[in-house]
Amino acid sequence: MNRDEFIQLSVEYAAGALHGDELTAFEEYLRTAAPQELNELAELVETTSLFPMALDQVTPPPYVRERLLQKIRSSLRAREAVEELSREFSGAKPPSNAPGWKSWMPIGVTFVALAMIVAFAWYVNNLLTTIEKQDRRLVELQNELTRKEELLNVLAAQHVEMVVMRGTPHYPVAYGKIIWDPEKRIAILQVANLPPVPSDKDYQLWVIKSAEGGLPISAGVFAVSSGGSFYFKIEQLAVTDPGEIAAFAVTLEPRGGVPAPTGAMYVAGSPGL
Amino acid sequence: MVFLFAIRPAVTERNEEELRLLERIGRQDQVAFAELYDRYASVVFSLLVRMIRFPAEAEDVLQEIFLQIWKKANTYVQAKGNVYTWIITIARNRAIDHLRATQHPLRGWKMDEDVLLQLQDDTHQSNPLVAAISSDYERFMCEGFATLSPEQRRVIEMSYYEGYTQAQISDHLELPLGTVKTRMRQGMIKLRDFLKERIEK
Repeated sequence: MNRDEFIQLSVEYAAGALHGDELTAFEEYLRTAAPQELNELAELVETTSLFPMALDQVTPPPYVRERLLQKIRSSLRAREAVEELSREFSGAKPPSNAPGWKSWMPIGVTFVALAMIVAFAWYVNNLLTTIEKQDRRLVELQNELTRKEELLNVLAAQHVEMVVMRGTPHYPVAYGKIIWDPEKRIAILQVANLPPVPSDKDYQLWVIKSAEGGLPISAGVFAVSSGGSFYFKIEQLAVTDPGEIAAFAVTLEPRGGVPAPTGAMYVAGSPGL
Repeated sequence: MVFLFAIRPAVTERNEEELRLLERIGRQDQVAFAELYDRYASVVFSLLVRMIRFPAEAEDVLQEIFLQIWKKANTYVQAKGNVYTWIITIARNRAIDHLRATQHPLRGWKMDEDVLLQLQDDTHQSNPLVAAISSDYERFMCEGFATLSPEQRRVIEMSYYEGYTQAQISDHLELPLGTVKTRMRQGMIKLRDFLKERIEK
């Protein structure tokens, strides 16, 4: 492989664009690659690993951290319990001075004890797998519950504002609403009957202010997987005074969103309408 | 599976510190684990939201990733590579697994973590990009992407975040395959050189 080919394949490898046989062949080549070649590839891999730093940084909700730590504490406790039980089993000592046929007793006892330990380990392993599956499901349900609680918290605020959005002529069956707490600038976006988003697109929510020349400001992107009703939480709505809002709108844009709307509008609404 | 070369410590102080954190995590130190989480949860979550797009699903995957880090910390300490890159590689791989499992259309490619370790061999100690991450990197990366043409940026993002092959990108953007390859190469080289220059300054 000449240098030019190596650079091309390294670029594709680092960007995640190398697949199938090409990928296998390239990884095979790396087994015997020269240090300089590996260095060039490493630079490209490090470059792509920094890509996420250029994204708008999204902080995960605090409950994710809490649950993770809780899960770790539980697994440590379970492991300690298993270790404790294993110690108790292996600590059992057979009698040492038995006469006649009883001299086989220590071997028998050891064998039985070993068999019990193996059976117990197998049982515990199955049990831990089941617990892990149930834990995962529990985490999903807890996350879902927390998300719903967060939505209810917004609704429970003393002052909330709401704007109803209706389907545009482009997609009249869709509808949605924005409910927000102007004090905390937290909002809920509810949308329904939007078509599932294509793989290369995202829906993007826009705030259009009366001032600033009516230029739309992005309030975030989201995706829906089916035509049902979906809720999204918006952490920092770029609006402090409800009076400054002219409208909200949702458009379909290239995946990841764009600085200004370019795609078809699906729902839109203004305060008081 | 690629065999590993001998791995020696990466050069930077911050990475040394993170390797010590991993070492403590390997000894089941929950405080160290919480510290590592606080350091990287946001950047990992941002990557997941970008790839998976459904924040609720991204939260579940984030938990799985950090559980994997908890379980595999010891293994990685022995390799002594770049902790940040390792975490991002795990995150992207898990996101691709999730997208496949949930039948999203993405056909992502996963980097073999052993290959990553090989690349972090001591032969790269002079490489400024094999370095710890500082807050400057966020700015560097944004500035770096701003130097790309929208076309170069699009093909790189479609590949890295969305898992398209170059042939699929070519079909999707209705471009000759050669043009896709050229844009990807020019964009990646430009980004790499920009970052190297900034970091070396």
